[in-house]
Amino acid sequence: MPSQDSKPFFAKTPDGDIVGLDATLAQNIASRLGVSLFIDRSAKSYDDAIQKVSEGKADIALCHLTTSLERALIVDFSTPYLKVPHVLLLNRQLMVHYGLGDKKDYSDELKKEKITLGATTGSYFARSAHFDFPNAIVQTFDGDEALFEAVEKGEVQVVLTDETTFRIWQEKHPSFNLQVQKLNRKNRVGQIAIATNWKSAPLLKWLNLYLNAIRDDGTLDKWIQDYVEGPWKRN
Amino acid sequence: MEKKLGFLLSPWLILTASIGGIVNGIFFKDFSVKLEPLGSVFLAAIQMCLVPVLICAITTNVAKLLNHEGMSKYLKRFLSTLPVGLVVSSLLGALIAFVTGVGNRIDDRARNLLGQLLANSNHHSTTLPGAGYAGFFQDLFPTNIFLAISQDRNLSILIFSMAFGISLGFVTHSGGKLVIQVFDTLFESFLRIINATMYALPIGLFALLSVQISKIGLDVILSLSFFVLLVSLGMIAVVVVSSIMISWVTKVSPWQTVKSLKEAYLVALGTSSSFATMPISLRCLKEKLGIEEHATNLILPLGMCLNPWGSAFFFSFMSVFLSQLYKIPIPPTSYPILVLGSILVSVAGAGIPAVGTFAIMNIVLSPLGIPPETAVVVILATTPILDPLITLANVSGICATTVVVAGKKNYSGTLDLEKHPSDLDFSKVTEASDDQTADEVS
Repeated sequence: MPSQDSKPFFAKTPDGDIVGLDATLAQNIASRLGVSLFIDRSAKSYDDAIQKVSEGKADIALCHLTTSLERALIVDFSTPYLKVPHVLLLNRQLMVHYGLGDKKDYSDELKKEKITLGATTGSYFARSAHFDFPNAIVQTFDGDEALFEAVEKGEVQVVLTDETTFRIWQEKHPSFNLQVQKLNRKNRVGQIAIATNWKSAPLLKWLNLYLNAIRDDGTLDKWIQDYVEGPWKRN
Repeated sequence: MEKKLGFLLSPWLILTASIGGIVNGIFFKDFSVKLEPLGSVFLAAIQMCLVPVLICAITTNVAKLLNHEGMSKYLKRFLSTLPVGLVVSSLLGALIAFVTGVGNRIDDRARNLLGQLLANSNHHSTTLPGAGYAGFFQDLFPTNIFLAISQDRNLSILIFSMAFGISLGFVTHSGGKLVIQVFDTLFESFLRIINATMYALPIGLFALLSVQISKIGLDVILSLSFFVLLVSLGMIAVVVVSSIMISWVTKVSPWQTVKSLKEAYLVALGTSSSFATMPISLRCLKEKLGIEEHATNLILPLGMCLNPWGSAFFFSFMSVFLSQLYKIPIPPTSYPILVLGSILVSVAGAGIPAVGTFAIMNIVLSPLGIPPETAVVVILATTPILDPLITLANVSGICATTVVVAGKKNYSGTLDLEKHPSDLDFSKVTEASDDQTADEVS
C-alpha cells in the first residue's frame, strides 16, 4: 500500500490502525491463507506499489489499484472486486471561461484546450491523462488532499479521479462543491483489482477463487456497502 | 350573495388569516404541508386569467393612446421614469453588497451548507437555450404567440400585445373601434373572474403562507442570516421609498398608502407573484387612492412586466455577493454589465417566482466570469423567506411608478376614452368633479 491514504480503501486512524475496504480485504485474505499480515506502506505511489510486487518485494498490492494494459505488462491482476466510474472535476471558473454548462462529459471539448490537469502521483489517472488530454499540462500531486485542494484553489483547472474518492472527499468538505463541478465520464469505469507477481500464479488462482467466494456469500457486497457506498465513518 | 359573503373581503379578516397562516406554518409544520394543494388551487384560480388580463389591458390601452395625446403623455412619462427606478435599485443592491462585504463574511459552516445543497441539486442550470444576452433579445419576439402564452413568457406577450395594440390603433375601419371595445369588455370580465376568487383570499392566503413558512429551512436562514437580513432590509427600503413617492403624489401619509395597498401587499406576500396582485392593485390604486383610471389600466400592467425594483436590487446584490464568495473581483469597467445585466435578469424574470429565474442568471454572471450554479442554490435556499419580500418590493415599486406617472384623478382630469380614438375631441375633455374623488382614503 502507498504511504498516502486513499479513502475509503485504506487510511490510517489516529490510533495507527489501517482501515478501509482494502485493509479489511487484506486482513481477511491473510487469515484465510493462514499467514500473518504485514502491510508495507513504503511505496510512494500506486505505480511504486506495483513496482514492488513486480520486483518481488511484496506478495500482493491491494490498494485501490485500477487495472490497465500498461500495468498488466509487469504484474498479474485478479478479477476486479470493485468497479468505480471515472469522473472529471472541473473548477467552476474554467467552466465559465469555456462556456460549459450541462452536466455531461466534456472530455472531447477539453481535449483541444491547453488546460492544466491534476492527478495523483503514480496513479492510473496520471498516466491516462497524457493519452486522454494530449494538449494538457499534467501536474501530479502526492495524495488526494493536495490534489483536491489544488483544483479548489484553481491551481489546476481539471482533476481526473474516480467517483468514490471524490464522494468521500466532498462528504467531509461540502464547500468543495462551491468551487468544483463533478462530471461523470462517459464509458469510463475503473476496474479495481489485486496485483500479484507474474511468478505467483497459484496465489493469483487462489485470490480469484477467494474473490468469487466472498462475492457469492455476500461478504464483499456488505463490505462495499460499509466502506464505499455508505458515509466514511472511521477517523 | 355579494352582501352575504362581503365579510370575506374584509381587510381585517385577510390580515387575521395571513397572521394565522404564518403562526400555523411555524408551529404546525406537518399540518401546513398538507395545505399545499389548497394553496395551489387558490393560486391557479387567481393566475387563470392573468395572461388574458395582461393582453387585453395593454392592447386596448395602447390602441387608445395612439390617437390620444393625453395617454401618450403617460407613456412618455412612464418610459422616462422606468430606467431611473431600475438603475437606482440595481445600483443600490450592488452598493450595499460592496459596502457590507456580505460574500466575504460567509463562514465555513455556510460554505459547507451551500456545498451540500449544491451536491444534492440536480439543476442543469447554466447553458439553457436562450441564456445570455443574445438569447435574451432572441426570446423577446415570440415565434408563435400562443406558444409564448402557454409558456408564460411575459416579455414576448408584452411585445405582441403592444404591437397588436398599435396596429389596432391605426385601423380606421369602424371595426377597429369594435375590437377595442371587445378587448375592453374582455378585460372587465376577466377582472370580474379574478375578483370573484378574492372571496377565497382569506383561506387561500392562510394556506399559502402556512406552506411557505413551514418550508423555511432554519439552518439555511441562520447560516445565511446576514445575506437574508440585508436583502430583507433592502426590500423594506424599497417599500418605504415607494410609499413616500405615493404619498407625495396622493398627499396622504406614507403609512396611509401602505394601508390602502395592504390587500395587494398581502397577496404579494402570499403568492410571491407580482402578476397575481395585478387585479387587486388596480382596484386599490383606482378606488382607494383615486389614481387616474385609464392611465392606471395601462401603466400598471406594463410596470408588472418592466419595472421590478426589488428583483433588480436582488440580482445585482446577488452578483456582488457571489463575486465576493468566489473572490473574483469585478473590475470597474464591468459595473455597467453588472447593473444592466441585473436589470435584464429581473425584467426577464418578472412576474415569475424567483425559482424560475436561475436559467437567466447567466446573463449577468457569465460576462463577469462568476459560476452561476451557486446562485441557484442560494436562491432556492432563501426563496421561502426572500421571494415574498422581493415580490412585495416589486409590487410597491410598480404601484409607486404607476402613481407618479398616472397622478390623481383630479390633477389629470378624466378622459372619455370609451369613444373611438378618432372620435376624441380634446376640447371636450371633462374635468373630474371634486366629489368624484371624494376622500375615500381617509
